Amino acid sequence: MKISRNWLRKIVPFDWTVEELAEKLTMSGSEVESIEDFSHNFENILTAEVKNVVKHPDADKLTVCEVYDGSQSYSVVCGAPNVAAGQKVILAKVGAELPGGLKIKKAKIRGVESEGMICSHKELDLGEDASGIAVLPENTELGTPIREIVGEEDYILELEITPNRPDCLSHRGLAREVQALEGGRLSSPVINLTESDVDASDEVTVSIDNPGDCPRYAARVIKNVKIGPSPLWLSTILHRLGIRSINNVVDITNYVMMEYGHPLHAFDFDLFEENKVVVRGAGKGEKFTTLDEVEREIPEGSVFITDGIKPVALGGVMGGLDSEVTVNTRNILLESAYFNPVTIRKTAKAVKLSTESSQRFERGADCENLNIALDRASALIAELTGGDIARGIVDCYPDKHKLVSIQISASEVNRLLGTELSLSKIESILRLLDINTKHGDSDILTAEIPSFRPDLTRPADLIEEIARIYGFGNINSREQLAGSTEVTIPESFRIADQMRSFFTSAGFDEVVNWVLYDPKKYDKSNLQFNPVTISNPLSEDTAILRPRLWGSLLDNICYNLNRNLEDIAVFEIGHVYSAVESSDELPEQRLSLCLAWTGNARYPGWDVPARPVDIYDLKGLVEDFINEFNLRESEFVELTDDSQFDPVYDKEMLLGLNINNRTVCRFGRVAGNILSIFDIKTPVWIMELDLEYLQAKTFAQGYYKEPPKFPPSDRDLALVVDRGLQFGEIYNFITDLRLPFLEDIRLFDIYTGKQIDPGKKSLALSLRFRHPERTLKDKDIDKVMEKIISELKSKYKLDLRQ
Amino acid sequence: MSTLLTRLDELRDKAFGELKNLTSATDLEAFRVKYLGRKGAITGVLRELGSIEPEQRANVGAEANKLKNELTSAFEKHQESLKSKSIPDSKVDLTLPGRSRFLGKKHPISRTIDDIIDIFYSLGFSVAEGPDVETEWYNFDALNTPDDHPARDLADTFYIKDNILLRTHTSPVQIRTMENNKPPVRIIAPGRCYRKDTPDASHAPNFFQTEGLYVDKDVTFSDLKGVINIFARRLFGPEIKVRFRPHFFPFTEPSAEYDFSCLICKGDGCRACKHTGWVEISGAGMVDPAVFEAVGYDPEKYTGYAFGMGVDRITMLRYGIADIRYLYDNDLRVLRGI
Repeated sequence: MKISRNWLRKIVPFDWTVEELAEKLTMSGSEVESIEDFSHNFENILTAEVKNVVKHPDADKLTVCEVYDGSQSYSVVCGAPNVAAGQKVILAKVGAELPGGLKIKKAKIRGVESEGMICSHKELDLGEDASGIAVLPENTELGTPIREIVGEEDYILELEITPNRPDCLSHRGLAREVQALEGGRLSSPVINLTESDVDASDEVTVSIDNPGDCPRYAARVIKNVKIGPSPLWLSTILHRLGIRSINNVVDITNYVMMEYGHPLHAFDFDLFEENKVVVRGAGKGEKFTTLDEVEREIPEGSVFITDGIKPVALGGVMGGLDSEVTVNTRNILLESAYFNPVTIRKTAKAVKLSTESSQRFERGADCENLNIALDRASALIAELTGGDIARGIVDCYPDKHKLVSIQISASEVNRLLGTELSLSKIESILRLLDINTKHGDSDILTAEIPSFRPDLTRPADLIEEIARIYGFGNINSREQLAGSTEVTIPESFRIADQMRSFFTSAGFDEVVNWVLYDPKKYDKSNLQFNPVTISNPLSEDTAILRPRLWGSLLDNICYNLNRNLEDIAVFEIGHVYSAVESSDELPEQRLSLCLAWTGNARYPGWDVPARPVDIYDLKGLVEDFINEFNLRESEFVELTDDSQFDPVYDKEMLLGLNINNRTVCRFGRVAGNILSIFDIKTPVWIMELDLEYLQAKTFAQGYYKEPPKFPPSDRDLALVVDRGLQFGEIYNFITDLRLPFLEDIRLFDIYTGKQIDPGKKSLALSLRFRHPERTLKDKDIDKVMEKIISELKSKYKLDLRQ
Repeated sequence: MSTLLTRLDELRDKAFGELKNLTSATDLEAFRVKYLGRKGAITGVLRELGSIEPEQRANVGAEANKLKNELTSAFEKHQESLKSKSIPDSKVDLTLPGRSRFLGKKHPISRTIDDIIDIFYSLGFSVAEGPDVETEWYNFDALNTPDDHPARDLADTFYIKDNILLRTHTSPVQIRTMENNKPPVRIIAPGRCYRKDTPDASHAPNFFQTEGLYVDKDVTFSDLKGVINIFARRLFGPEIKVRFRPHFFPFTEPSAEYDFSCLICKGDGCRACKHTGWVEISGAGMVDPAVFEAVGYDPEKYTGYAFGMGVDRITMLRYGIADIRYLYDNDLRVLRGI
């Protein structure tokens, strides 16, 4: 919503600078988003008449015009295609400076002297039209300085008006705000309405079939109008407010809308088939062509204004093309109606048409005072077009709007605001907003809500009015906190926090990605998903909620590889979503963690060689994870069964971690076909963790264990075994012997090579022994070692390596 | 015999004394030959065992072997330690980079949410959560925003199907919390929100918000100002200024938007704050009586305040990030530097 500082000041006096005005409006709820300066001195620019036009002797597209300003004639070379003798125009004389900075000098143009310039609207920044010179109405007085018409100084403020304040979509509404902010008193324009002898009620009848949707319809008839361009003051103010000038009649309806906030519509009354207005609901499947020349299917129940035969307007939204006011229009019907906000909103939404009119009606126009806007516009139209206003308003208003009154006490106000406002202070604020109040001796005040404030229906609404005019800044900031309640934090937040600390300490950078994701990437992966799909996505590549996290992380890997990073270790914690069968249930949302790792596990340093990531880096990480969070009952598993296998991974490089026989973590190398979807050419390892499950299963806590008192003894053992034999088998075998004193078995080397048989490998183990109550002697250990070796030898045909 | 043991003691002192000072490979080799070599001093002692009483040989021999083992291991250790120093002198080179543990970093959004939670937790606010995919009831109707209300246009909504949508704000958590708890309730609810906004420097179709709600007897607008002021100072320091402007939200009355003084220009006006000196953070207000009615609270008995805060906006302010999209690019060159 744009307002002119000058126009506002005509309605309500104030002596603030435009910045002060903006600040006050912003701090009372009408946020000023920008201020545009339209100030210009317009010196030596005035109205004039083109007396004579002759072709330029040396240029086809130029003319030489004799231009008369009421006292003197000037010879002006003009290039506009529309210049013609008899036109009222704007002349910039020698010495003028145009808003764009162009200075008008005496100049010879192709050998002909020019003493000025005939201007277009655009050149003076008084309109958008740059196609030709501005042609003013025929009755324009000559020699009037332009600055007397449009002012030397004006500022246009662009405001964000909240949807509850339809009254502020007008200059008068905002002037009332200024009044409440202790500017001067609001004044009303003098409406010089001269009516003819013809009775409007003889010209037209109005009936409403659907008073629920259109509670009131008022109209005037204006005859013998002469349609033409708007005078400069009118076209200029509309231009500055961002409204295109059409013709004098349409411009006045817009002008009055910007003044009073009430949308009006002018019809070419001669195009009505019958002399009546019948307001009715649209039937099923009815079509209608609106002013913007689009034929639309109108939703059933919308409001049609008809002439008894055919619709002439989509009520409250837009007029019809077939009854549009044009240069040929002679008689007009001027509508000032009130429509049900919900009806208008439904229609505007369905036909996807949000107009100045629909925006006001759907927020709530002023039902009671709509004939003031009608009179104001009629008077101005008669003045500009020479039309004759038929006597009286034809007003159909079956059920009079009931005014609301609200009772409120000072204690109620102060209870909500934490203030100590007196009843008289409250009363004076409300009165500045033109809300009448009364109270007898009691503490309770009755506020009579004017019809232009449909947003005020309850005491809370009034309290807001009091607070914003009193000033939010004047309300104390109370910083004592009242009594406490038990403070809790959901397990999901706690676990996410723990995970963040763990994985960042482990060297992974946290990333945060969009939840909206590209279904194509998952489709290409040939995995089974049941994604949650958005029915009205922003774009095809953000049409689903991500079913798993790895896609986002592979995007991150790709992005960073493309920026020359090589060693990338990232993780994300977030929800993943899957659709559910039942239509009234919300989709399933699970908290998940995924990490992705590429490049080196150990980054190269000046004395440290690099080493690429492999599966054992991931396994080590998971082992650390188990240890950190005391995950008892966990075991590593191979996920090779078809039921367990996950095709995101390479089949050979996938492991899982089971807790209570449920796989809560998978990790391994990303399959090549998946990487190619993301255009990644280096191996990437990922790990996925089901935090939803882990959070439900509270982590076990550790307990005190007495540290050993006696020193350990270590013995090394190198076993040459078949290559296919897994370390775990030897480990379990030795452990299951349940030997005395054996505390730990550590693998410190695996050797394959020249020194042993090619089908074999050597496992170097370090065995640690300890006695809880004394220092072990060699012979104690020797006995155990002998037993281990003999048992190993009898079970596996293996050699010891010396 | 005592002479041999004495010699071993002397050898021990001498050898360990010399070993400490060896730095070059040549010196090391000379040392090895001198003490540990086949013709070295310790072997020399062992060779002389024949010359002493047989019953003492074992003892001396064991001592000599012990010394040899100890010295060999000390020698190897020393040799190893010299090898790992690639600089010949033992003075520390301050300018050499240390060996990093390569720790990761938390994402700036997480850090902001963590800090928001810390501050409000310390002020007695519990943390609550709700689903990202919501029903129209929780996202709109219960928040006094019926279908025919123009306020529904304030945010363009992503729909999954009829009545099921992606929440446009964290306010549904207010409703879920009040439905399940009697007053007093005091919560914050950080989480993701979704709006059908084309991405630009200040909009992303998914973003983070934190909701706040406090309902009790005698909660006032003055308390709302207080809690936001405390929060602003705790997060940004004592210099920060907060202002409240009237606004409109269907679920609060009175409603406000609140701004923080611009951290970049300290309120003088700069590009970041569009020359206003203020940066909009989010909306707040006193819980609308209609919301209380929707959850079965008695508006005569209880009052409450609610506020939102734009987590992305606050994160951008804290770390000087000019474009919201940078938060979701996850450019590690950026994230590692913040």
